[in-house]
Amino acid sequence: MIGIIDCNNFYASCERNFMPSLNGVPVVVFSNNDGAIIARSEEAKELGIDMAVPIFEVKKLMKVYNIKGFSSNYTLYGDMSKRIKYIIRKFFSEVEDYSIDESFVSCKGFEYRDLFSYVKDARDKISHWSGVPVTIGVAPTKTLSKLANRIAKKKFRAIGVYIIDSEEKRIDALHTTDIKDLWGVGRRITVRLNKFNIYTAYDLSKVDTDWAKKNFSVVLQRTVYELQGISCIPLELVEPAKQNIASQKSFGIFQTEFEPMAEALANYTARVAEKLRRQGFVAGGITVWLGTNNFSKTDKQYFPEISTVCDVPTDYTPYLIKRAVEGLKVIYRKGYLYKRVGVMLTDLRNNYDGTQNLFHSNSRDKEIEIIRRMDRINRLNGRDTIRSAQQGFNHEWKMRQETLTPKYTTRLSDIIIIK
Amino acid sequence: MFLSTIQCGFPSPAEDYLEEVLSLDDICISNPASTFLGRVSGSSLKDICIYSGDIVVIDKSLTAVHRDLVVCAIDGEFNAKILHIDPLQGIRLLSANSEFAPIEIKELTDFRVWGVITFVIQDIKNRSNDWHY
Repeated sequence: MIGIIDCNNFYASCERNFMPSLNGVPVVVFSNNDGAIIARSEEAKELGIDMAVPIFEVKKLMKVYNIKGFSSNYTLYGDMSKRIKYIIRKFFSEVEDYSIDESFVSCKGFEYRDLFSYVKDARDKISHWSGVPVTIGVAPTKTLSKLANRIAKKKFRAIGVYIIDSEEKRIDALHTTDIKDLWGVGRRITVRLNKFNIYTAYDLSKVDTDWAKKNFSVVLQRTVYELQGISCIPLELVEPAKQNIASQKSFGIFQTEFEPMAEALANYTARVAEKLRRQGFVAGGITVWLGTNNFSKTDKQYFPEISTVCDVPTDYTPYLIKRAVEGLKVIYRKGYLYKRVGVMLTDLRNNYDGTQNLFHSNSRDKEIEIIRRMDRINRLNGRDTIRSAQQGFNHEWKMRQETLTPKYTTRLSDIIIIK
Repeated sequence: MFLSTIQCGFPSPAEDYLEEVLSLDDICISNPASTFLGRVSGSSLKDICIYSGDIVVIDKSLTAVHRDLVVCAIDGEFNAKILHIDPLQGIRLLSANSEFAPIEIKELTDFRVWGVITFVIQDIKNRSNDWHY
Protein backbone atom coordinates (compact mmCIF):
# COMPACT_ATOMS: atom_id res chain seq x y z
CA MET A 1 0.00 0.00 0.00
CA ILE A 2 1.08 3.56 -0.76
CA GLY A 3 0.09 6.66 1.15
CA ILE A 4 0.16 10.32 0.24
CA ILE A 5 0.54 12.84 3.01
CA ASP A 6 -0.73 16.25 1.98
CA CYS A 7 -0.67 19.43 4.06
CA ASN A 8 -4.06 21.13 4.21
CA ASN A 9 -3.93 24.59 2.59
CA PHE A 10 -0.21 24.57 3.33
CA TYR A 11 0.80 28.25 3.06
CA ALA A 12 -2.32 29.49 4.83
CA SER A 13 -1.84 26.87 7.56
CA CYS A 14 1.78 27.93 8.08
CA GLU A 15 0.68 31.52 8.66
CA ARG A 16 -2.09 30.41 10.98
CA ASN A 17 0.22 28.28 13.10
CA PHE A 18 2.03 31.37 14.35
CA MET A 19 -0.97 33.71 14.55
CA PRO A 20 -3.69 32.27 16.77
CA SER A 21 -5.87 35.27 15.97
CA LEU A 22 -6.33 33.77 12.49
CA ASN A 23 -8.13 30.75 13.89
CA GLY A 24 -11.44 30.41 12.06
CA VAL A 25 -10.71 33.55 10.04
CA PRO A 26 -10.55 33.39 6.22
CA VAL A 27 -6.91 33.65 5.11
CA VAL A 28 -5.32 34.01 1.67
CA VAL A 29 -1.68 34.17 0.59
CA PHE A 30 -0.45 36.27 -2.34
CA SER A 31 2.07 35.29 -5.00
CA ASN A 32 5.45 36.95 -5.47
CA ASN A 33 4.94 40.66 -6.02
CA ASP A 34 1.53 40.39 -4.35
CA GLY A 35 -0.01 39.75 -7.77
CA ALA A 36 -2.46 36.89 -7.36
CA ILE A 37 -3.87 34.47 -4.82
CA ILE A 38 -1.86 31.27 -4.44
CA ALA A 39 -3.32 29.78 -1.25
CA ARG A 40 -6.60 29.91 0.59
CA SER A 41 -7.83 28.69 3.92
CA GLU A 42 -11.01 26.62 4.02
CA GLU A 43 -13.05 29.68 5.07
CA ALA A 44 -11.71 31.70 2.14
CA LYS A 45 -12.60 28.89 -0.27
CA GLU A 46 -16.13 28.84 1.09
CA LEU A 47 -16.43 32.56 0.44
CA GLY A 48 -15.82 31.83 -3.22
CA ILE A 49 -12.24 33.09 -3.50
CA ASP A 50 -10.68 31.23 -6.42
CA MET A 51 -7.09 30.18 -6.95
CA ALA A 52 -4.82 32.43 -9.05
CA VAL A 53 -7.23 35.37 -9.15
CA PRO A 54 -5.51 38.74 -9.42
CA ILE A 55 -5.59 40.59 -6.11
CA PHE A 56 -7.27 43.70 -7.48
CA GLU A 57 -10.28 41.61 -8.49
CA VAL A 58 -10.94 40.41 -4.95
CA LYS A 59 -9.83 43.48 -2.96
CA LYS A 60 -13.41 44.49 -2.36
CA LEU A 61 -14.58 41.02 -1.42
CA MET A 62 -11.68 40.72 1.02
CA LYS A 63 -12.74 43.92 2.71
CA VAL A 64 -16.40 42.95 2.94
CA TYR A 65 -15.68 39.57 4.52
CA ASN A 66 -12.62 40.69 6.47
CA ILE A 67 -10.37 38.18 4.71
CA LYS A 68 -6.77 38.43 5.88
CA GLY A 69 -4.18 38.45 3.10
CA PHE A 70 -0.42 37.89 3.37
CA SER A 71 2.57 38.13 1.05
CA SER A 72 4.17 34.75 0.46
CA ASN A 73 6.74 34.04 3.17
CA TYR A 74 8.79 31.33 1.45
CA THR A 75 11.44 31.34 4.15
CA LEU A 76 8.79 30.21 6.61
CA TYR A 77 7.09 27.74 4.27
CA GLY A 78 10.41 26.18 3.32
CA ASP A 79 11.38 25.64 6.93
CA MET A 80 7.97 24.26 7.88
CA SER A 81 8.12 21.88 4.92
CA LYS A 82 11.51 20.63 6.09
CA ARG A 83 10.19 20.06 9.59
CA ILE A 84 7.13 18.18 8.36
CA LYS A 85 9.23 15.92 6.15
CA TYR A 86 11.53 15.20 9.04
CA ILE A 87 8.57 14.21 11.23
CA ILE A 88 7.10 12.06 8.45
CA ARG A 89 10.31 10.03 8.41
CA LYS A 90 9.79 9.15 12.06
CA PHE A 91 6.67 7.22 11.09
CA PHE A 92 7.45 5.99 7.58
CA SER A 93 10.80 4.59 6.55
CA GLU A 94 10.31 4.90 2.79
CA VAL A 95 9.39 8.42 1.72
CA GLU A 96 9.34 10.27 -1.58
CA ASP A 97 9.26 14.04 -1.16
CA TYR A 98 6.93 14.90 -3.98
CA SER A 99 6.46 18.64 -3.51
CA ILE A 100 6.78 21.32 -0.84
CA ASP A 101 3.60 20.07 0.84
CA GLU A 102 3.16 16.45 -0.33
CA SER A 103 5.05 13.22 0.33
CA PHE A 104 4.38 9.70 -0.87
CA VAL A 105 5.12 7.01 1.71
CA SER A 106 5.29 3.25 1.62
CA CYS A 107 2.89 1.36 3.90
CA LYS A 108 4.44 -1.96 2.99
CA GLY A 109 4.22 -4.44 5.82
CA PHE A 110 1.64 -2.41 7.72
CA GLU A 111 -1.02 -4.95 6.78
CA TYR A 112 0.27 -7.05 9.64
CA ARG A 113 -0.87 -4.45 12.10
CA ASP A 114 -3.88 -2.17 12.24
CA LEU A 115 -3.12 0.00 9.24
CA PHE A 116 -5.80 2.56 9.99
CA SER A 117 -4.76 3.14 13.62
CA TYR A 118 -1.12 3.46 12.62
CA VAL A 119 -1.78 5.97 9.85
CA LYS A 120 -4.30 7.89 11.96
CA ASP A 121 -1.82 8.18 14.82
CA ALA A 122 0.91 9.33 12.40
CA ARG A 123 -1.46 11.87 10.87
CA ASP A 124 -2.38 13.31 14.27
CA LYS A 125 1.23 13.57 15.37
CA ILE A 126 2.53 15.09 12.15
CA SER A 127 -0.26 17.69 12.39
CA HIS A 128 0.21 18.44 16.06
CA TRP A 129 4.00 18.44 16.20
CA SER A 130 4.38 20.79 13.26
CA GLY A 131 1.21 22.83 13.75
CA VAL A 132 0.18 22.27 10.13
CA PRO A 133 -2.78 19.88 9.67
CA VAL A 134 -2.20 17.07 7.17
CA THR A 135 -4.43 14.54 5.42
CA ILE A 136 -3.34 11.02 4.47
CA GLY A 137 -4.82 8.89 1.71
CA VAL A 138 -3.76 5.26 1.40
CA ALA A 139 -4.39 2.84 -1.49
CA PRO A 140 -2.68 0.11 -3.51
CA THR A 141 -1.27 2.61 -6.07
CA LYS A 142 -0.06 6.21 -6.15
CA THR A 143 -2.93 7.33 -8.38
CA LEU A 144 -5.53 5.72 -6.12
CA SER A 145 -3.88 7.14 -2.99
CA LYS A 146 -4.41 10.60 -4.47
CA LEU A 147 -8.11 9.76 -4.80
CA ALA A 148 -8.17 8.48 -1.22
CA ASN A 149 -6.66 11.78 -0.10
CA ARG A 150 -9.36 13.76 -1.90
CA ILE A 151 -12.05 11.67 -0.26
CA ALA A 152 -10.46 12.16 3.17
CA LYS A 153 -10.44 15.93 2.62
CA LYS A 154 -14.02 16.06 1.40
CA LYS A 155 -15.79 13.55 3.61
CA PHE A 156 -13.57 12.76 6.59
CA ARG A 157 -11.92 16.06 7.30
CA ALA A 158 -11.86 15.72 11.07
CA ILE A 159 -10.32 12.25 10.90
CA GLY A 160 -7.92 13.19 8.12
CA VAL A 161 -7.35 9.63 6.89
CA TYR A 162 -9.02 7.51 4.21
CA ILE A 163 -7.88 4.10 3.05
CA ILE A 164 -9.00 2.36 -0.13
CA ASP A 165 -8.61 -1.22 1.02
CA SER A 166 -11.51 -3.01 -0.60
CA GLU A 167 -12.96 -3.45 -4.07
CA GLU A 168 -16.14 -1.57 -3.07
CA LYS A 169 -14.16 1.42 -1.85
CA ARG A 170 -12.07 1.47 -5.02
CA ILE A 171 -15.13 1.39 -7.29
CA ASP A 172 -16.85 4.03 -5.18
CA ALA A 173 -13.78 6.31 -5.35
CA LEU A 174 -13.58 5.89 -9.13
CA HIS A 175 -17.27 6.70 -9.60
CA THR A 176 -17.09 9.92 -7.60
CA THR A 177 -14.01 11.35 -9.32
CA ASP A 178 -14.01 13.32 -12.56
CA ILE A 179 -11.06 12.61 -14.83
CA LYS A 180 -10.07 16.27 -14.68
CA ASP A 181 -9.28 15.71 -11.00
CA LEU A 182 -7.04 12.73 -11.66
CA TRP A 183 -3.35 12.81 -10.88
CA GLY A 184 -1.36 12.94 -14.11
CA VAL A 185 -4.28 13.81 -16.42
CA GLY A 186 -4.06 17.31 -17.82
CA ARG A 187 -6.77 19.57 -19.15
CA ARG A 188 -6.07 18.83 -22.80
CA ILE A 189 -6.25 15.09 -22.29
CA THR A 190 -9.48 15.56 -20.32
CA VAL A 191 -11.09 17.27 -23.31
CA ARG A 192 -9.95 14.50 -25.66
CA LEU A 193 -11.11 11.76 -23.32
CA ASN A 194 -14.52 13.40 -23.00
CA LYS A 195 -14.93 12.97 -26.75
CA PHE A 196 -14.74 9.21 -26.17
CA ASN A 197 -17.46 9.51 -23.50
CA ILE A 198 -14.95 9.05 -20.70
CA TYR A 199 -15.94 11.36 -17.87
CA THR A 200 -15.14 9.68 -14.57
CA ALA A 201 -12.17 7.80 -13.20
CA TYR A 202 -14.39 4.73 -13.39
CA ASP A 203 -14.90 5.17 -17.16
CA LEU A 204 -11.16 5.51 -17.60
CA SER A 205 -10.39 2.44 -15.50
CA LYS A 206 -12.53 0.39 -17.90
CA VAL A 207 -10.73 1.27 -21.13
CA ASP A 208 -8.36 -1.13 -22.81
CA THR A 209 -4.80 -0.36 -21.69
CA ASP A 210 -3.39 -0.90 -25.19
CA TRP A 211 -5.98 1.50 -26.58
CA ALA A 212 -4.88 4.11 -24.03
CA LYS A 213 -1.25 3.70 -25.05
CA LYS A 214 -2.01 3.77 -28.78
CA ASN A 215 -4.35 6.76 -28.78
CA PHE A 216 -2.79 8.73 -25.95
CA SER A 217 0.50 7.82 -24.26
CA VAL A 218 2.33 5.42 -22.01
CA VAL A 219 1.59 7.86 -19.21
CA LEU A 220 -2.17 7.45 -19.63
CA GLN A 221 -1.78 3.69 -19.95
CA ARG A 222 -0.03 3.67 -16.61
CA THR A 223 -2.81 5.76 -15.09
CA VAL A 224 -5.37 3.18 -16.29
CA TYR A 225 -3.39 0.34 -14.72
CA GLU A 226 -3.04 2.30 -11.50
CA LEU A 227 -6.78 2.97 -11.37
CA GLN A 228 -7.33 -0.77 -11.74
CA GLY A 229 -5.17 -1.27 -8.66
CA ILE A 230 -2.01 -2.41 -10.44
CA SER A 231 0.88 -0.33 -9.13
CA CYS A 232 3.28 0.81 -11.85
CA ILE A 233 4.56 4.16 -10.62
CA PRO A 234 7.05 3.23 -7.90
CA LEU A 235 8.19 5.48 -5.06
CA GLU A 236 11.27 7.49 -5.96
CA LEU A 237 13.22 7.11 -2.79
CA VAL A 238 16.52 8.55 -3.94
CA GLU A 239 16.49 12.15 -4.94
CA PRO A 240 18.31 12.66 -8.23
CA ALA A 241 21.70 14.29 -7.61
CA LYS A 242 21.60 18.08 -7.70
CA GLN A 243 23.19 19.54 -10.80
CA ASN A 244 22.28 23.17 -10.45
CA ILE A 245 20.97 25.66 -7.94
CA ALA A 246 19.03 28.53 -9.44
CA SER A 247 17.21 31.67 -8.36
CA GLN A 248 15.08 33.85 -10.56
CA LYS A 249 13.08 36.74 -9.23
CA SER A 250 10.89 39.45 -10.66
CA PHE A 251 11.33 43.11 -9.92
CA GLY A 252 8.58 45.02 -8.14
CA ILE A 253 8.94 47.80 -10.69
CA PHE A 254 10.49 47.63 -14.13
CA GLN A 255 14.22 48.28 -14.22
CA THR A 256 16.11 50.06 -16.96
CA GLU A 257 19.49 50.89 -15.38
CA PHE A 258 22.45 48.59 -14.84
CA GLU A 259 23.22 49.42 -11.21
CA PRO A 260 19.99 48.36 -9.49
CA MET A 261 19.92 45.19 -11.56
CA ALA A 262 23.49 44.37 -10.59
CA GLU A 263 22.46 44.96 -7.00
CA ALA A 264 19.51 42.60 -7.31
CA LEU A 265 21.66 39.99 -9.03
CA ALA A 266 24.27 40.24 -6.28
CA ASN A 267 21.58 39.54 -3.71
CA TYR A 268 20.19 36.53 -5.56
CA THR A 269 23.72 35.24 -5.98
CA ALA A 270 24.35 35.62 -2.26
CA ARG A 271 21.20 33.56 -1.66
CA VAL A 272 22.14 30.69 -3.98
CA ALA A 273 25.69 30.71 -2.61
CA GLU A 274 24.31 30.24 0.91
CA LYS A 275 22.23 27.35 -0.34
CA LEU A 276 25.28 25.89 -2.05
CA ARG A 277 27.26 25.95 1.19
CA ARG A 278 24.41 24.49 3.20
CA GLN A 279 24.38 21.52 0.85
CA GLY A 280 28.14 21.15 0.97
CA PHE A 281 28.79 21.89 -2.69
CA VAL A 282 31.11 24.11 -4.70
CA ALA A 283 30.11 25.49 -8.12
CA GLY A 284 32.23 25.18 -11.23
CA GLY A 285 30.21 27.60 -13.32
CA ILE A 286 27.64 30.34 -13.24
CA THR A 287 24.84 31.32 -15.61
CA VAL A 288 23.10 34.69 -15.62
CA TRP A 289 20.03 35.73 -17.56
CA LEU A 290 17.79 38.73 -18.01
CA GLY A 291 14.25 39.11 -19.20
CA THR A 292 11.72 41.71 -20.21
CA ASN A 293 8.00 41.32 -19.65
CA ASN A 294 6.94 38.62 -22.10
CA PHE A 295 3.25 39.33 -21.49
CA SER A 296 3.55 42.85 -22.87
CA LYS A 297 2.41 43.23 -26.46
CA THR A 298 3.89 46.70 -26.89
CA ASP A 299 7.32 46.62 -25.18
CA LYS A 300 10.50 45.52 -26.92
CA GLN A 301 11.53 42.03 -25.86
CA TYR A 302 15.00 40.78 -24.86
CA PHE A 303 15.97 37.50 -23.15
CA PRO A 304 19.76 37.17 -23.10
CA GLU A 305 21.71 34.56 -21.19
CA ILE A 306 25.41 34.01 -20.48
CA SER A 307 27.41 31.20 -18.88
CA THR A 308 30.91 31.46 -17.47
CA VAL A 309 33.28 29.07 -15.76
CA CYS A 310 34.86 29.73 -12.38
CA ASP A 311 38.68 29.69 -12.20
CA VAL A 312 38.33 27.11 -9.45
CA PRO A 313 35.08 25.52 -8.23
CA THR A 314 34.09 27.61 -5.26
CA ASP A 315 31.43 28.53 -2.73
CA TYR A 316 32.94 31.93 -1.93
CA THR A 317 30.17 34.52 -2.21
CA PRO A 318 32.29 37.57 -3.15
CA TYR A 319 33.86 35.67 -6.04
CA LEU A 320 30.53 34.34 -7.29
CA ILE A 321 28.99 37.82 -7.11
CA LYS A 322 31.92 39.26 -9.02
CA ARG A 323 31.54 36.65 -11.76
CA ALA A 324 27.76 37.09 -11.95
CA VAL A 325 28.00 40.86 -12.29
CA GLU A 326 30.70 40.52 -14.96
CA GLY A 327 28.30 38.31 -16.87
CA LEU A 328 25.48 40.79 -16.45
CA LYS A 329 27.70 43.54 -17.82
CA VAL A 330 28.15 41.55 -21.01
CA ILE A 331 24.46 40.89 -21.67
CA TYR A 332 22.95 44.15 -20.38
CA ARG A 333 21.67 46.56 -23.03
CA LYS A 334 20.16 49.95 -22.44
CA GLY A 335 16.67 50.67 -23.68
CA TYR A 336 14.66 47.74 -22.38
CA LEU A 337 12.17 47.46 -19.57
CA TYR A 338 13.56 44.60 -17.54
CA LYS A 339 11.20 42.51 -15.48
CA ARG A 340 13.48 39.82 -14.08
CA VAL A 341 17.01 38.67 -13.53
CA GLY A 342 18.14 35.16 -12.74
CA VAL A 343 21.27 33.34 -11.67
CA MET A 344 22.18 29.66 -11.64
CA LEU A 345 25.20 27.93 -10.16
CA THR A 346 26.17 25.03 -12.38
CA ASP A 347 28.57 22.10 -12.42
CA LEU A 348 28.11 21.44 -8.71
CA ARG A 349 30.57 19.18 -6.98
CA ASN A 350 30.98 17.94 -3.50
CA ASN A 351 33.03 20.37 -1.47
CA TYR A 352 35.02 17.61 0.12
CA ASP A 353 36.15 15.43 -2.72
CA GLY A 354 38.80 16.08 -5.30
CA THR A 355 41.74 18.43 -5.12
CA GLN A 356 40.22 21.23 -7.12
CA ASN A 357 41.69 23.88 -4.84
CA LEU A 358 45.24 22.56 -4.83
CA PHE A 359 46.80 25.68 -6.31
CA HIS A 360 44.74 28.04 -4.24
CA SER A 361 45.10 26.36 -0.91
CA ASN A 362 46.36 29.40 1.01
CA SER A 363 43.75 31.87 -0.08
CA ARG A 364 41.12 29.12 0.15
CA ASP A 365 41.79 28.67 3.87
CA LYS A 366 41.22 32.36 4.37
CA GLU A 367 38.05 32.28 2.26
CA ILE A 368 36.64 29.38 4.24
CA GLU A 369 37.29 31.23 7.48
CA ILE A 370 35.73 34.46 6.22
CA ILE A 371 32.66 32.79 4.82
CA ARG A 372 32.18 30.63 7.90
CA ARG A 373 32.16 33.68 10.14
CA MET A 374 29.96 35.61 7.78
CA ASP A 375 27.38 32.80 7.68
CA ARG A 376 27.41 32.59 11.45
CA ILE A 377 26.91 36.32 12.00
CA ASN A 378 24.13 36.39 9.42
CA ARG A 379 22.47 33.37 10.93
CA LEU A 380 22.39 34.93 14.36
CA ASN A 381 21.62 38.51 13.42
CA GLY A 382 19.52 38.16 10.32
CA ARG A 383 20.33 37.71 6.70
CA ASP A 384 22.72 40.22 5.11
CA THR A 385 23.95 41.76 8.36
CA ILE A 386 27.30 41.28 6.67
CA ARG A 387 27.08 41.56 2.92
CA SER A 388 28.98 42.37 -0.17
CA ALA A 389 28.88 46.09 -1.03
CA GLN A 390 27.56 45.11 -4.44
CA GLN A 391 24.37 43.92 -2.75
CA GLY A 392 23.52 47.53 -1.89
CA PHE A 393 21.15 48.94 0.70
CA ASN A 394 18.21 50.55 -1.03
CA HIS A 395 16.70 47.56 -2.73
CA GLU A 396 14.30 49.55 -4.84
CA TRP A 397 14.13 46.60 -7.21
CA LYS A 398 12.72 44.42 -4.52
CA MET A 399 9.58 42.34 -4.86
CA ARG A 400 6.46 43.96 -3.59
CA GLN A 401 5.64 42.27 -0.31
CA GLU A 402 3.41 44.62 1.54
CA THR A 403 2.01 42.22 4.09
CA LEU A 404 4.94 39.91 4.76
CA THR A 405 4.74 38.04 8.06
CA PRO A 406 7.76 37.48 10.35
CA LYS A 407 10.23 34.67 9.72
CA TYR A 408 9.15 32.99 12.94
CA THR A 409 11.45 29.98 12.73
CA THR A 410 14.63 31.33 11.18
CA ARG A 411 15.22 34.76 12.72
CA LEU A 412 15.69 35.49 16.38
CA SER A 413 14.14 38.93 15.97
CA ASP A 414 11.00 37.34 14.48
CA ILE A 415 10.09 34.60 16.98
CA ILE A 416 6.57 34.48 18.41
CA ILE A 417 5.74 36.76 21.32
CA ILE A 418 4.24 35.14 24.41
CA LYS A 419 2.33 37.20 26.92
CA MET B 1 41.93 18.59 3.95
CA PHE B 2 43.44 22.05 3.58
CA LEU B 3 42.25 23.02 6.99
CA SER B 4 44.82 20.87 8.77
CA THR B 5 48.47 21.68 8.38
CA ILE B 6 50.75 18.80 7.52
CA GLN B 7 52.71 17.57 10.51
CA CYS B 8 56.29 16.52 9.96
CA GLY B 9 57.12 15.53 13.53
CA PHE B 10 55.10 13.39 15.92
CA PRO B 11 51.34 13.14 15.39
CA SER B 12 49.35 14.86 18.10
CA PRO B 13 48.81 12.46 21.01
CA ALA B 14 45.30 13.94 21.44
CA GLU B 15 44.16 13.11 17.92
CA ASP B 16 42.55 9.80 18.82
CA TYR B 17 40.76 11.27 21.84
CA LEU B 18 38.85 14.10 20.15
CA GLU B 19 35.15 14.18 20.92
CA GLU B 20 32.26 16.24 19.63
CA VAL B 21 32.07 19.65 21.30
CA LEU B 22 29.16 20.08 23.74
CA SER B 23 26.20 21.69 22.07
CA LEU B 24 23.33 23.64 23.64
CA ASP B 25 21.08 22.21 20.93
CA ASP B 26 21.72 18.72 22.29
CA ILE B 27 20.82 19.86 25.78
CA CYS B 28 17.75 21.98 25.05
CA ILE B 29 16.27 20.37 21.94
CA SER B 30 15.27 16.73 21.81
CA ASN B 31 12.99 16.95 18.77
CA PRO B 32 14.26 19.72 16.46
CA ALA B 33 11.42 19.39 13.95
CA SER B 34 8.78 20.20 16.57
CA THR B 35 10.78 22.77 18.56
CA PHE B 36 10.11 26.49 18.27
CA LEU B 37 11.42 29.54 20.09
CA GLY B 38 9.31 32.28 21.62
CA ARG B 39 10.01 35.52 23.45
CA VAL B 40 8.36 36.35 26.75
CA SER B 41 6.69 39.72 27.06
CA GLY B 42 5.30 40.88 30.38
CA SER B 43 5.49 39.72 33.98
CA SER B 44 3.03 36.85 34.23
CA LEU B 45 5.81 34.36 35.03
CA LYS B 46 7.94 36.49 37.33
CA ASP B 47 7.43 34.28 40.41
CA ILE B 48 9.24 31.44 38.66
CA CYS B 49 12.00 33.80 37.57
CA ILE B 50 11.03 34.10 33.90
CA TYR B 51 11.07 37.71 32.83
CA SER B 52 10.14 39.90 29.92
CA GLY B 53 12.66 39.43 27.12
CA ASP B 54 13.59 35.85 28.01
CA ILE B 55 13.56 33.26 25.26
CA VAL B 56 11.67 30.04 25.82
CA VAL B 57 12.16 26.72 24.03
CA ILE B 58 8.82 25.16 23.09
CA ASP B 59 8.35 21.53 22.09
CA LYS B 60 5.08 20.84 20.29
CA SER B 61 5.58 17.08 20.31
CA LEU B 62 5.12 16.78 24.09
CA THR B 63 1.73 16.10 25.59
CA ALA B 64 1.06 18.65 28.30
CA VAL B 65 0.52 17.23 31.77
CA HIS B 66 -0.32 18.66 35.19
CA ARG B 67 2.12 21.43 36.26
CA ASP B 68 3.66 21.83 32.82
CA LEU B 69 4.47 25.33 31.70
CA VAL B 70 2.66 25.62 28.39
CA VAL B 71 2.25 28.08 25.57
CA CYS B 72 -1.43 28.33 24.80
CA ALA B 73 -3.42 30.28 22.32
CA ILE B 74 -6.09 32.24 24.21
CA ASP B 75 -8.44 34.51 22.30
CA GLY B 76 -5.99 35.00 19.48
CA GLU B 77 -2.85 35.52 21.58
CA PHE B 78 -0.01 33.33 22.76
CA ASN B 79 0.13 33.10 26.56
CA ALA B 80 2.46 31.20 28.86
CA LYS B 81 0.57 29.51 31.68
CA ILE B 82 0.97 26.71 34.18
CA LEU B 83 -1.41 23.89 33.36
CA HIS B 84 -3.20 22.82 36.52
CA ILE B 85 -5.27 19.67 36.34
CA ASP B 86 -7.21 18.98 39.52
CA PRO B 87 -10.01 16.43 39.96
CA LEU B 88 -12.00 18.91 42.04
CA GLN B 89 -11.26 22.23 40.41
CA GLY B 90 -10.95 20.96 36.85
CA ILE B 91 -8.40 22.27 34.42
CA ARG B 92 -7.10 25.74 35.21
CA LEU B 93 -4.42 27.99 33.78
CA LEU B 94 -2.25 29.66 36.39
CA SER B 95 0.11 32.56 36.05
CA ALA B 96 3.27 32.71 38.10
CA ASN B 97 2.35 36.14 39.38
CA SER B 98 0.09 36.61 42.39
CA GLU B 99 -1.54 39.62 40.76
CA PHE B 100 -3.02 37.47 37.99
CA ALA B 101 -6.06 35.32 38.80
CA PRO B 102 -6.28 31.71 37.62
CA ILE B 103 -8.33 31.10 34.50
CA GLU B 104 -10.78 28.25 34.28
CA ILE B 105 -10.79 26.64 30.88
CA LYS B 106 -14.56 26.61 30.66
CA GLU B 107 -14.54 30.42 30.79
CA LEU B 108 -12.56 30.51 27.58
CA THR B 109 -14.16 30.55 24.19
CA ASP B 110 -10.99 30.10 22.16
CA PHE B 111 -8.31 28.03 23.83
CA ARG B 112 -5.68 25.58 22.66
CA VAL B 113 -2.40 24.27 24.07
CA TRP B 114 0.21 25.09 21.41
CA GLY B 115 3.29 23.54 22.99
CA VAL B 116 5.15 22.72 26.18
CA ILE B 117 7.95 24.98 27.41
CA THR B 118 11.07 22.93 28.11
CA PHE B 119 13.88 25.45 28.63
CA VAL B 120 14.37 29.15 29.27
CA ILE B 121 17.26 31.21 27.93
CA GLN B 122 18.12 34.28 29.98
CA ASP B 123 20.68 36.92 29.15
CA ILE B 124 22.20 37.11 32.63
CA LYS B 125 25.17 39.32 31.69
CA ASN B 126 23.00 42.11 30.43
CA ARG B 127 20.67 41.88 33.36
CA SER B 128 23.29 42.15 36.11
CA ASN B 129 22.20 45.76 36.72
CA ASP B 130 18.86 44.44 37.92
CA TRP B 131 20.05 42.83 41.08
CA HIS B 132 20.63 45.11 44.02
CA TYR B 133 23.48 43.57 45.92
